[in-house]
Amino acid sequence: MSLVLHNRPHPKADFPIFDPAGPNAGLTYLDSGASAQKPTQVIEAVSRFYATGYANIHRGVYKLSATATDAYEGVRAQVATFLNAASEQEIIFVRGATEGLNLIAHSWGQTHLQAGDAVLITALEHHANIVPWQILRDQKGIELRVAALAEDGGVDRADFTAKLADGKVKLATFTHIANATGAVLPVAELTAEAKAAGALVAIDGCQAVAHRPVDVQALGCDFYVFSAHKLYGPTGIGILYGRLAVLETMQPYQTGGDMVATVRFDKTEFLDPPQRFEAGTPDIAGVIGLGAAIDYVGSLGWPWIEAHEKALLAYGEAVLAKVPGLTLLPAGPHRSGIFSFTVDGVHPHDLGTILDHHNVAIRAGSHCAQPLLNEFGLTATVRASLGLYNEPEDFDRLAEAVRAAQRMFTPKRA
Amino acid sequence: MSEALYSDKILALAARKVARLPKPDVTAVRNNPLCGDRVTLDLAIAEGIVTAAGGEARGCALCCAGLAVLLDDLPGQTLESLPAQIETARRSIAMGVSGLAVVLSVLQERPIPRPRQKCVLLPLEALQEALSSLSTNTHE
Repeated sequence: MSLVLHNRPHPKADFPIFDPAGPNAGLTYLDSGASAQKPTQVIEAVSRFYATGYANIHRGVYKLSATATDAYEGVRAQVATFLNAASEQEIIFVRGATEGLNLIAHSWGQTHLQAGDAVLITALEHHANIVPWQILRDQKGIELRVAALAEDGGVDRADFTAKLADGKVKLATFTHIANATGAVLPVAELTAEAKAAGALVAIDGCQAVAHRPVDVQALGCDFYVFSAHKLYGPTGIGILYGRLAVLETMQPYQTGGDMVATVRFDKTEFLDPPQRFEAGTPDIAGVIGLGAAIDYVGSLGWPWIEAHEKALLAYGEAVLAKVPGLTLLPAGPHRSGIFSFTVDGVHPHDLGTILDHHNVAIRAGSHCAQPLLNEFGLTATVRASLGLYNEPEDFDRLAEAVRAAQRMFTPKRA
Repeated sequence: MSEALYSDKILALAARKVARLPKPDVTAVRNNPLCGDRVTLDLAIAEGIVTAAGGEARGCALCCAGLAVLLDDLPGQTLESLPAQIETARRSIAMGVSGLAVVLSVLQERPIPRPRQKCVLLPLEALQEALSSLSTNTHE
């Protein structure tokens, strides 16, 4: 069972980590939610840039710098198209989604939030979309509100609505897809509701951008963040999309070179967005790699990627349902890319190690979402997350390895 | 297949029932932020020597086995000797070298993979915290 991709082999062949003659032969990689593997196209783009096109950007007066700048800024335009932003000025290169969220908290929150205001998150957030707001709460006396988890594993819509009702929420910030469970939040509806209540909206798109097209204008959000390494790109680079009218009201996050218009000893004037938020020499090669990753995803096309994932999810759900003692965490009305589960009698970390012994790579632990797992009465789960290189057989190997772990532990730890 | 990490000896240690001390002189609790595991360690002490050790673990097999071994090893040890033993055990687990330390010697029969070293070390961290707590109280 495998969807046909016309005129090319299955994309798994594009990822050298899976080379059957290489050091990881036989690897079943189900940890793309933590970080995705890299196709040759990305690896070669980064390597080629360092080998033949590298120079610092923006200020060099020589050809190589100009070419590097063109390539770097070209990716900004590419990302704007990828997210359907209104302008490439709305695309800020950051280290990752975590830095993007911290930038919003610092540069927007410090200026625009005051004691008595509230920030609304949901119970399904990654720590990176909780802690920055807690710090702001403690610094500025704002209120941090949490929309509850619904019984089905989604967000409690009535609670979300109730927490917007008094008009104090100035920012609603929530995940597009919950990293610990795979729950897809109805982000367009939540955004419309929050905007109607007078709040700005930020969306953590880390788990979404590799799985579905994102249109920030259609969503109507003010901020959208993601990390390149979950989109088959390099580590160390991410994107903060910000609506230009909002970015223009924000102060810099960091200061230094490349973000200033004039500097005197008594005063500094900052550049307009996006440069205002990109102090210092950025991860230029990372940006080039991100561009190659977007090209790569585009070459497969969303119809194939979405159909492939849909088929994998259906197969995975059926296979995991047949494993006795395996309990899948609910993911609301819609699941995407992630299965999070526990197995009776086997601690998630022990299970993770035994799966590794079977060459199945998964994530075990709290997935940087301790509050969400606590809502389920858990401290850890095993998480299998999908990439476009996965095949149905990967779930067969996963289930077989889970059964092996059960055989090992059940009689001895019962 | 390196499932040998989960040897019969380790699985038996992990399954062993352990218990808290009714009246410990010091208690320390340590959490593993990666998975929420928690180790509670109780020590009874007389004249600088551990006379009894108890505790409980909410954790994986390696963590539970680590606590069981520690509870076996601690009685009779001098407080003075423990910091060096903890350090030796920590280093040898990190290096995957066996046979260097008294503490956790059973677990060191096989190298512990890096992602799981924290599991094995959690009981030792609780011991270190208990010693720090004793030291602080003594100085106060």
